[in-house]
Amino acid sequence: MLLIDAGTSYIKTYDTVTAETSVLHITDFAKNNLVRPNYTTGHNTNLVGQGIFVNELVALAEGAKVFCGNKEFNILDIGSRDMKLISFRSSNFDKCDWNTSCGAMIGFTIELIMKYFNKTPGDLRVTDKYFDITCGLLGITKFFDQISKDASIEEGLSSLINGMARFSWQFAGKPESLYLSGGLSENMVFVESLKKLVPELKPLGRFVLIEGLKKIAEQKEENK
Amino acid sequence: MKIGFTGVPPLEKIKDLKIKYPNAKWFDLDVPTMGISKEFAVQYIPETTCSVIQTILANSFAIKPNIILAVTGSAKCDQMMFLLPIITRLLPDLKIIETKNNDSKNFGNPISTSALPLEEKFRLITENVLNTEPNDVPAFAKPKAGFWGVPPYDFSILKLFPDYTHVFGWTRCMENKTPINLQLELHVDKNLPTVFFCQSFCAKNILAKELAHKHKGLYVEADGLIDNSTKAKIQAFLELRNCF
Repeated sequence: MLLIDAGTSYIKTYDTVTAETSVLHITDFAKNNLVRPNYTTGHNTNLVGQGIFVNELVALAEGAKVFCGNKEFNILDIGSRDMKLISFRSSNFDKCDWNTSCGAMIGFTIELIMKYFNKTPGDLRVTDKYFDITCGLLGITKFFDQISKDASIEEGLSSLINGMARFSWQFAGKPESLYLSGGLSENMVFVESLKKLVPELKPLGRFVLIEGLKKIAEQKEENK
Repeated sequence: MKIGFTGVPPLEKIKDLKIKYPNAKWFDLDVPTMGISKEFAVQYIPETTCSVIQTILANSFAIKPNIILAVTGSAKCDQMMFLLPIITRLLPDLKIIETKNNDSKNFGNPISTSALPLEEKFRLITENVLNTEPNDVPAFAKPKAGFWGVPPYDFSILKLFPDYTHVFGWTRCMENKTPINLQLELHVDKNLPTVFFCQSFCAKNILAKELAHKHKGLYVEADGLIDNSTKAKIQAFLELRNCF
């Protein structure tokens, strides 16, 4: 079976037969001849053919159980466009949230502006300075304002990323312990910025939703 | 004779107008009307105005009622009070009857707690505002989920909920014909998975978010038409809380 998590900027795939995974940028996707997926999740599902669709938050919840155990956890998934939060308490679903408008575009904004200035996370230092922001686009406004005054591009980028980490922490309910998934869990400046606020931060990478999809697909296939 | 109304007018005012104008055609100006776009309103009021208020202005201008029975104050909202001078400026021949509603006689909530599909419940409750007598009582059904809030601008949100979803919040106050009844508005069933919905730019967002926190529900704020991400969030919440 082919499982696909079709995110806003990146498409993650998993082949259950070969156990091969791939991450494709959305702009490269058309060049690849993927067979029709069996199970899909994600914002851009319509781009990859239908398959059996699984709600993203449900896929995140199921995937999180694999990585975090069933009992107590908070997991925050930050993609290009949105943030998703799931909490379990005493092995039961406790709460979820999905920030799609205000606070959205965080991952997209970081990638966009770093590419624009030709910077990588390795060029940046973690800072205590931060922009007080609730949205990627508002963050860009503050960034350009700051570098027009006294900050270097690197300082501005670090403050922007730290501001976004701070907003993510608030969105997650200021937890002491947090699992982080999605593309930003591989950006070390973001991870280190968030770690200052969340003592127990565990980055999990991009494949948590795929893991959830795998579990749901197995259950559904068994029940056929 | 065309009479428009907003919110839940007091029963006596409705009765008086029905006696005075027995053949009048009544229009609920809060409800979106086919062919009338609320976009009209933003040339006169800020875009950061609740969709329901925008709808009232657009409906008023398009329908041009002879009379508007306009509820203001706690039973509606301050935005309605501030909208009235604009309606008067645009439609100077229109008569506005501004009123409060302190009705306290309880008509009950049989529709809210019945087995009817959620969309049907909202249709009945909103259509029932002008009814001055109690309705037939549908049977109570044990709920699987809850919807708290005002009637949404976009009824498509209601299709996401399972059968046996109970209605709470101000819509329940509407059905009970007591639009100022904070105790009833605050009531939700303990441990029932409930979505706390509010239109963007409405003061009730404060209440919705706090109640969602208190009852471990899902707070949803939306302006105008509900986007797919918001729908997916609601679907996930209901699925993860085993409502289906």
